[in-house]
Amino acid sequence: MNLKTPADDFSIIHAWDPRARILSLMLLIASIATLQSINLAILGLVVSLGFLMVSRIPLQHAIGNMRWPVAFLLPFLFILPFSVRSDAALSISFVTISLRGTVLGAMIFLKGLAAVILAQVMLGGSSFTTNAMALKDLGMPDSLVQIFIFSYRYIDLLGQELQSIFRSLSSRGFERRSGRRTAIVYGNAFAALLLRSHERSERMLQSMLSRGYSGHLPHQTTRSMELKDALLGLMVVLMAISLKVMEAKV
Amino acid sequence: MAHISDGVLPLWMLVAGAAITIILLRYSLHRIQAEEIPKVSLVTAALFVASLVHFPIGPTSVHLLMDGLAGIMLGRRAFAGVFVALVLQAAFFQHGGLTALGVNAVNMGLPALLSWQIFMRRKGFASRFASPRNEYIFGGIAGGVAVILTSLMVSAELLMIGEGFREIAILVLAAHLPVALAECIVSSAACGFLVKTNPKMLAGRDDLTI
Repeated sequence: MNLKTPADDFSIIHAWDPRARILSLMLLIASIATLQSINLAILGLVVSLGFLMVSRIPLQHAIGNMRWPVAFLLPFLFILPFSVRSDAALSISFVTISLRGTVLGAMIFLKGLAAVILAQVMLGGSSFTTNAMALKDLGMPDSLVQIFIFSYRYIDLLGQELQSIFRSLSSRGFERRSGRRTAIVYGNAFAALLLRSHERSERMLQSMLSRGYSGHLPHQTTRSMELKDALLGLMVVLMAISLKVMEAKV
Repeated sequence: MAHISDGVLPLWMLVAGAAITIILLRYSLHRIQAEEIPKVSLVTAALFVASLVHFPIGPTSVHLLMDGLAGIMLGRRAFAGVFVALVLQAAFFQHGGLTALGVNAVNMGLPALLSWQIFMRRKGFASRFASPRNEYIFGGIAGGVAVILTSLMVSAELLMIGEGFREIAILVLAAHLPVALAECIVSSAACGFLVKTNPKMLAGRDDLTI
């Protein structure tokens, strides 16, 4: 898994200091996610698409990552028009579509999409490890950052191990079916994976201790924040504040 | 549907979720030793990978939550493990919003801690009803209860937004019932496997540092 998103070219987002990028874009995401106006939610989506263009992250890549959030947000878009009580926008026989519910569902959907796009811009500008180190610089506990980095480091490897466990089960005639038998086989497969990961963690600890590990991440020199990083961050924070000011005036 | 996306929850709920998560993270990481970090990391990675596997239910398939098994494996460190797994899911798959991370961590991390406590109860139970099946029984209960509690919390949060969200809250609850049943059997089998192969890996042993 690679967090750094494929950009056509090196963009201003990729050159931006990760600390300023994470802090300011997180504020913008929070500002958009808590808007209570459909017009401002549309504006939020436009802003996030603007950031996506600036980041040069391919649109196809961004859309490909929206499967899960869209699956979660679609029920709001389709259920709220029928479940929220208000003046009817449309009545056909016994079915009443509420205007307030339609607007609420659309607003949640648009805000969700805008936030997902901005999250990809925020995290896609550098590797996962660089982002994690930026979080450490922003005050996240050292032990938690280490868990992030070590977990990420081993996900691909453990994924391959689980695939090999399931391949081995398939070669012995196991077929995935809905039922108790499959659940038991899954439980045993997951336990085997946990067992291997536990044994690997012990070897990993010995290896780390032999290289002087004392429970802390080695100090890494982070790049110094330049004026352009701070100015870019300030501009994004002002955008987040502006959205809230506009919301208060609506 | 246990991972709430951005844009759904009101500000006060996001702030409350973040505050509770910070408190629980401090509790979960309290006095963590250097030698625990690789174990917590790799078990978290293994559970993350396991939660990506499709489990067939009828004509469709679901993803297991694995928060119960996280509690059984990691004890009090489970909340930190769940939090890390949620950040990884949000970062790589946009599964669950970044602003809703605090609420999502509470929804999955608290049941993980409860599962740990349920699984610990097997020791008191074993003194009265000694049975080699205790790990199967308590593992299954812990796994199933974690999923039910997670779905109840997500449903309650949706209900708190407004009455219009009642149908979606019911949908969330109904969608998780088969997941709870599957996870109950999966956790039970996993605990049974581990108690036979390496019982020290399960939370609640006497020499446990975490």
